[in-house]
Amino acid sequence: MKKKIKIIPFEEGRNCNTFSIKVDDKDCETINFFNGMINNGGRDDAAKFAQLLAKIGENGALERYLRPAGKYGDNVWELPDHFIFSNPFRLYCIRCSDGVLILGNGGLKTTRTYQEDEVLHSHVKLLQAVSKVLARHIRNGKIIIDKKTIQGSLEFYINT
Amino acid sequence: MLKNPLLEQLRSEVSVADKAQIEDSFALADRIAFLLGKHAMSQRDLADKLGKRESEISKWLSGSHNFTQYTLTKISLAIGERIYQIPSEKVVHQTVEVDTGVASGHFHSIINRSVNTKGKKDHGYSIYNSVNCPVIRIAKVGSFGSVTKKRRSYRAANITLRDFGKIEKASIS
Repeated sequence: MKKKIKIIPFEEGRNCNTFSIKVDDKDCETINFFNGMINNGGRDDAAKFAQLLAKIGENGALERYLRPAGKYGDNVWELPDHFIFSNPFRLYCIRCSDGVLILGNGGLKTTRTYQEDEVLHSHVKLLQAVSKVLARHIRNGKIIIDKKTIQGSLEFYINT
Repeated sequence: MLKNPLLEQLRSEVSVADKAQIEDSFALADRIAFLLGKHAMSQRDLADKLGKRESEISKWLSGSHNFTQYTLTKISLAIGERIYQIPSEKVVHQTVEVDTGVASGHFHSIINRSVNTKGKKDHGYSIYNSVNCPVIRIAKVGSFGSVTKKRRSYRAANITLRDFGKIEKASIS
């Protein structure tokens, strides 16, 4: 199935800017993640997640701050489970560089692996598809990652 | 700077304690990563030294781990440099002048074994009475040479606590 993807600026930080994704002109994926947390009684954790993202914005999206989530080489990562969280929420993202992080969606992880959870799996698969197209556009020069910015055609289609 | 209104609202709800926890957890992870680089050690090296899996070291460096003091000490020892320093309020940072006229021949011992509360030698001197209790501590504030010179001018002797009281009163500026 073909989906329209739009990469949108989300937040700016001292060393890293975060971006998010809109699928078929619907709501921003990351806002859906936060609203999902809030609606599932996880407002406290959502607030801590927001604080964690501010810290990453300040320090940069260093590889060691994140954990590989997808398959090797697909560049899909997750924010690790911080000890201050009450529940194991996961937020998936594409790490383009220390200065550019594209946030996706996520949710409460109740299974051992994300593949066992249909919802989480769908979020990871979406990011894997986006990451694949991004990598191709970066290779052929349609998209340029420069320090904290992404330049180029930030609207494209993916097949899922 | 572009900030998301929902996230900003949520951040305003985070307690001071939780903000501090996040700050400290990242600061510790960054410090350990810095020390590993400084000592040309890889995560694998640290894992081997501590008998841990590399994935655990990776988690430590992610800024999400709740370290115990025991773990931090073990990491410090494995790397060979302390991860943090705790300022000690017990260390005297005051120049102490000892009146050699009063003191000469009265000290039981002047021992160069001053240890601050961080367990490090700080090159100060403690003057001990006959029951081996430190009475005056000379912190190294001036040059090391002058302190050494003073130390040499004293002879060990038995002395009462009352005498030490006088010396302390007369000598601490």
